[in-house]
Amino acid sequence: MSIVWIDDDIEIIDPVVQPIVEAGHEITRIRRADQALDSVEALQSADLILLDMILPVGDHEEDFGRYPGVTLLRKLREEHGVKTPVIVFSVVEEEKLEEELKSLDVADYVLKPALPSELKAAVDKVIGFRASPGTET
Amino acid sequence: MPINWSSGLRQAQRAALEFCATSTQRAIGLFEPAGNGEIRVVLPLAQFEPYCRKMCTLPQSNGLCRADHIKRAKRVMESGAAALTLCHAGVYNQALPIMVGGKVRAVLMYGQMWVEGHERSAEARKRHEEMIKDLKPGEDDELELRVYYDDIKRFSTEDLSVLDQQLSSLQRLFYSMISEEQAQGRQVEGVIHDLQTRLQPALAQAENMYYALCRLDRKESPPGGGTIATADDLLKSLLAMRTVVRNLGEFMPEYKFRRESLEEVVRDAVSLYEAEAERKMVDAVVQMKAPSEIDMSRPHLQEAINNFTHNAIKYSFSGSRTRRRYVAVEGEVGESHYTLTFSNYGVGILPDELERIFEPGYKGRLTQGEYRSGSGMGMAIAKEIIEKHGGTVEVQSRATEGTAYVNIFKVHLPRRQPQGARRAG
Repeated sequence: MSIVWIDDDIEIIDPVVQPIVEAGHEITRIRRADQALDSVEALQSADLILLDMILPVGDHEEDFGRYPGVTLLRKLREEHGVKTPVIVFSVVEEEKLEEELKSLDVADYVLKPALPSELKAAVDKVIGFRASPGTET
Repeated sequence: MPINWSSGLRQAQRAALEFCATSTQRAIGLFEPAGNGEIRVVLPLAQFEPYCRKMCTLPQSNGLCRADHIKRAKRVMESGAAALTLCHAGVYNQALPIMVGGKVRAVLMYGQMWVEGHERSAEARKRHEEMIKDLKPGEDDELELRVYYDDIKRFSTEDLSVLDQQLSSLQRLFYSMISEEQAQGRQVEGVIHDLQTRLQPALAQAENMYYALCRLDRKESPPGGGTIATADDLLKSLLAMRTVVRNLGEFMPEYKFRRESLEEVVRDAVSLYEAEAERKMVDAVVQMKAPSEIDMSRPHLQEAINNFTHNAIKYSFSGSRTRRRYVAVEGEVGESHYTLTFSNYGVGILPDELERIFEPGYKGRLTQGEYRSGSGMGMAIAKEIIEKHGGTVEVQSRATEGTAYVNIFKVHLPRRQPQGARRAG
């Protein structure tokens, strides 16, 4: 399965995806919100997106707000029609974000710092769910 | 219930040190100045070498090791330089000064080891023999001490260098947060995010190592000399630390008002960002009319004033050797209020943004590149704190796209809080 991981701390926290890589999944890494918007096709065809909430926006002129990850996801869903399942993987833990993320069809939320096994379990659950016959939307 | 910030950090610091001791299988101790020229042991050495453990069980050795460690920690605290030190019983320890803001905040000592190039040095052997002579252990105890002494773990200088780097950077992080002045200059949220991000790779590597060790043939020596039990302990320590760090998020100090000098608050804020101002060749000019005493909740108000001061410096254009820029903080005494005015010449705020800049996460449209760093929370937090003091904030800026102008933030603070809000003092 192919997974796109959008996070600016990838170099530092890369060991967390080791079991996912060892399980044979292919991970593409994107570090900024503007780069993600330039990679809509890759995101559309991926099996899963891992998304951080706090991201640099690069040269993008538009205001991405306090949590650029939320704005990015809204753009991907509403402006670009990206339907790929998303797991939010972030240090941000705010109750008021919950409703907003639900409305953007977020499959799961894994709080950093997480054990690699915790992240892999969330990934397995989503990819497994998507792959099950009759469950695709 | 609010969580005590310092005590929460201390718990996390203890968990981190225990993690270091477990993962390196080395004894680690932390020593801090006690304020009267004395040294106090904050975290005792753990993971003792059998040689040291044996020695400490002898009644004659009562307190000798502790006194010797403190003596060496004091020496390193005074010199400010890392040193490989030899203990009274002939064993090496590495002593690292933990420097924050140019000051030694603590000394971390770890080791109970042999180090390449120093193995069985004549001086070490001499001390070992003298210690045995002084303690006069029984025949069996002496034999055990000699066997354990020859069996002490060996470290290469490369190992030491890696450990020095890891241990001191982790401790510097804790001390920069424990340090009151630094904590006032940073938002709690940012500190927690820092800690969580730093914990993530440690936690991931610990679990990856755990499973790697589990897959090995148990009869073979696992890589790095670790054991499954070690990896398991390490993982537990990190998970305990994760819990502590997550709980820090609940920290919310209560507002407690007392009469204090606003000038002092402003000068502390300016001094906090002195280095950044100097780098930008910006002078921060403070002119405060007396009396500047008002009823305030000092930690909160300090954070708000820090944010206004930092904003003024951060968004000021840089000066040069021939032409320095300046930001000004002026204070005026009114009948019921004290007014602080922060002004700078730099990145402007557009007319339609004057209200929005106090929204959480909002970043001005003219901010670009270096000016765009930060969470966009500073002004929102500052305004909330000023309002909790019964004060108001107004902002003036005359900027259009592509231009810069003088930005002015006026903070009006009541000089007295209503009866009941103010605590005696």
